[in-house]
Amino acid sequence: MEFINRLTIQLDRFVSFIGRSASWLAIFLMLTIIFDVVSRAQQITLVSSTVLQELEWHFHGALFLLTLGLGYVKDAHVRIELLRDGFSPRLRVWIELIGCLIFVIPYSIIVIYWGYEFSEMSFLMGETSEQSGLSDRWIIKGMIPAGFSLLLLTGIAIVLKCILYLYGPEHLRQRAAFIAETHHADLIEAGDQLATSESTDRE
Amino acid sequence: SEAPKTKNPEVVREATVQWKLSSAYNSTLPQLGTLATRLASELEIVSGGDIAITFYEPNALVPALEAFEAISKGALEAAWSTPGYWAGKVPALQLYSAVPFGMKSDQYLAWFYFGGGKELFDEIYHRYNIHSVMCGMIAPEASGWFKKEITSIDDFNGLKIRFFGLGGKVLEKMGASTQLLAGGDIFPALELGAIDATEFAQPAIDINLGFYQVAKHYYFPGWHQQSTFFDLMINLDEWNLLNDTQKAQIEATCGDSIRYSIAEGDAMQADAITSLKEKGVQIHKWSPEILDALLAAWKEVAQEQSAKNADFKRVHDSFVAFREKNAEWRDLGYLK
Amino acid sequence: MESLITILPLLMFPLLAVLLFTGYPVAFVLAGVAMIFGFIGMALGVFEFEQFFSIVLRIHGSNVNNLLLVAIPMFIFMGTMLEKSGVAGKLLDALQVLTRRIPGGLALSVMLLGVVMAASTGIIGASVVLMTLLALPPMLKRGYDPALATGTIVSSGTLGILIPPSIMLVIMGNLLSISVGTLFMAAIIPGLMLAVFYMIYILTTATLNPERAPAMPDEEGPKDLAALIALLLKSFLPPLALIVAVLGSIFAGYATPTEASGVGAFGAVLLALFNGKLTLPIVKDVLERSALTGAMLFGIFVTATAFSFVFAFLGGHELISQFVNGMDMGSWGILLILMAIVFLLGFFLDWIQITLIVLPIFAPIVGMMDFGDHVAAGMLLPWFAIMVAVNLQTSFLTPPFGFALFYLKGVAPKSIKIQQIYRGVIPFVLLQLLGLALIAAFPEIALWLPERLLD
Ligand code: NA
Ligand code: NA
Repeated sequence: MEFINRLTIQLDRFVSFIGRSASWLAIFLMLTIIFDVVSRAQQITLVSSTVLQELEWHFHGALFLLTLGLGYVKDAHVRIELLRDGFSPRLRVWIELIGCLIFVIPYSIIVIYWGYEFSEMSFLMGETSEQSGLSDRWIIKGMIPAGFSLLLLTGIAIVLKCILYLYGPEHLRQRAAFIAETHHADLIEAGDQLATSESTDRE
Repeated sequence: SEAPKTKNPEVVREATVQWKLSSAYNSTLPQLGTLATRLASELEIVSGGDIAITFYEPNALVPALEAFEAISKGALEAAWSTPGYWAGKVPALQLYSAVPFGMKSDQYLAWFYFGGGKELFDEIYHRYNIHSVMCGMIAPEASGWFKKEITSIDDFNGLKIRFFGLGGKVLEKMGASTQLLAGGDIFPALELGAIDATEFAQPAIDINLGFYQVAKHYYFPGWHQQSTFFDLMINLDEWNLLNDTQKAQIEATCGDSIRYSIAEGDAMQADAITSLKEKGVQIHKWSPEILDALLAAWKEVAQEQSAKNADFKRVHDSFVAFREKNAEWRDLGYLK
Repeated sequence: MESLITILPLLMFPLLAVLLFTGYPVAFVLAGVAMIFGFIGMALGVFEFEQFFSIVLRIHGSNVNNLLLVAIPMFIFMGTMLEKSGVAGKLLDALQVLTRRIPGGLALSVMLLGVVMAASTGIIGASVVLMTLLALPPMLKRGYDPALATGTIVSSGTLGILIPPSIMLVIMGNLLSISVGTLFMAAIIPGLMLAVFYMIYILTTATLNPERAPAMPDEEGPKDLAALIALLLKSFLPPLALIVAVLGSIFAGYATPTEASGVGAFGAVLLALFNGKLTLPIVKDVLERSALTGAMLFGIFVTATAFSFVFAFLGGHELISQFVNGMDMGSWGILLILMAIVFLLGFFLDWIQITLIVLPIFAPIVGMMDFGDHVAAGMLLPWFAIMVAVNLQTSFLTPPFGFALFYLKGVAPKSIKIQQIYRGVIPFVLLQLLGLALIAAFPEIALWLPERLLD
């Protein structure tokens, strides 16, 4: 059980590290847009507009794909808690466990499998932009299986946390506490405690 | 007119070939989309109900620009598209959509069927497990909607224009800045001046979409798209499962669709031009100087693309060789 | 067996509804139901494993390779930055000072802000999230009834899909082959009319029940004119400049509406800098929160696209088409049924799929309708399109399932219960239905502007 606990900590840490790193893409996206707007208005072309505009959706795509898993680690995905409020903590944990086992994990595997095929096909064709934009389209396509791999790892970690809660010793239960107790994360208010520091949040 | 007939559910259930067809164009778009719905209903009639194709709007099954992969992997049986959409995957296929300063429809067809075009086409598509049947050809496109008049070659310099494909590369050579722009942004961007011009399609199509409300200068001829092919893409394994009768039915119906689309496309533009003029659109023709400059730029682009991609070179060489060989006959046979 | 296969797509809805109430994340329920029905389809021989490939193609083609959606992370970042740097709070404080004599002044300001922001985005989700980030914390802090606060925010946030520019109207224009310009024009008066209805409601509620919308007490806020001017200069003008920059960049032709979101994000960074809040911990915090909000939103986008794919593939479109084509009634009866179908689909499918499914099926039927002198034949489709747009906006707001409600819930503080959101949104939904009925009864509400201003 202690090993499972350490494993979930490592999985969460890995997914969070990638997700937090990817969150900086928003800055790159913003700067790219500003650069494009300003250079178009000033009639100067240092980099073609097509390249910049493709960069924009590349940043945007990588940003949301690489943070899907982080979203689940932090429990940011919306839930309808209308009935859930009345459920017992154990029932909530069971729902999470079953949900991961029959929804998140198999679905992620399907998307990873076909996403890999998709990216590989692009790589083998040497696919580029259909305009005079960026080359190596396989990289952004590869973000689909990459992002869902992170979601898969999160799903596995949550299954393990649920098992810890249901069958583990008392002191390991709070690893799954947020699944048992809260709804979904609070992105405005209580966000203060889930930000910045690596160690104090739910790890 | 030859309107599509409604589908009989009983027939669909009996059909031995039941394909879903993902279209790259909305069913309401004249020619681009209506040709596909017409194809589906004609095939059902011609095959006596043996071939049932269900038309799907773009994005209803797969996004327009992802049909290639879907067909290749067998996730989808058929798609309605134009080969130039696959420019980023297989650059040579662009020459099977429309070639800047390319041939008129009759000559383009002559090259495709009798000048070696089709052999290369099949060879290229089959590599990706796709069999494609040429299935439509539309009238020349317009050069696009411009907010300001273009009077000289210099006016292209710095022009912000949304323009696709090989024609877009030609304009970049002229100093234009081609824009990608999201579909939903084109209209407001043109209206408010973030872009100066956009290409779309031909008068009969453009008139419905209201570009004349925000850009009054409409340019001809569409040097970038004199005639444009549309194709029915089919998963190669599915194609191989067909018997000879079914294959012939598809090929014959598509052949007829080419006949139909050329005739329809040529007939439907006149009224559109008239009503565009009534709406205050200023119709312009490119000056010979501008066309010459665009042609020179296209030759550069064609050379660059040929140097970059062996298949592009093979197809382009075949195209040019046929045109040269055919030139004397065109000169002798036709009135200017 | 044959009949099971026929109704299979319809069975997806009840399963989805039941599973949503388990409290498992909405996004994963959408994905799970799609997958389960894919497997059921495989067992019945109407689906193959290869078809799951299309789901990946849709993730790429609709969500990744889609320049328009770039506005979403940018608006989220902008909203989060304004909130965390205190700019949004100060702006709303200033608005409260200015409107303290008007009942529900803060809610009215928020509604006005929503109308203004509507002119810079047309994507459901982006505007709802932005408005929630900016306005919900100050409204709750002031002691507003959470139901009224969330109802105000979610309804003002969805105005963005009606007030141009709006991607939904663009797609509708393309699907119906009618001018986007005409649709944009036609949507303006209905959009503003709804905003006015909302404001009247807020004003009435705040007058009758002041405790639901408390005003800033007199002892708070600036004491003299100098303090008031200082407050306006410090708290009101900078965000106002930001709004002017965002809208101005569009209307001056510097930026597309999508790019304006990036301009807004950049402006928010500058305001944070002037506020002395642009520190590394705050930036990291804002980035992580923005990423989580984006993950929440795109989690639903990505899985909704899988759900609607399976629905379409299993024959959902044909079912609707057969049902509609089999109807035998007058024009008004058919119109009512069409509207009901759009409304019901709005519970479960995202707008792009609804427009894709229903507009091509409905367009020929609508084209053949005859409303006599009620609507000119040439304006039938624009009128219909605007009604579909208002209808969809309503559907996204209607409990228990509405995508706009999910987005609001996703960013709202934990203390906000879905029940409160449900309760708060109902008056607004009723006002929208009233608006819809008025547009049906008086087509000129939509058609007057395009008929006057366009040829
Ligand atoms: Na808008
Ligand atoms: Na709803």
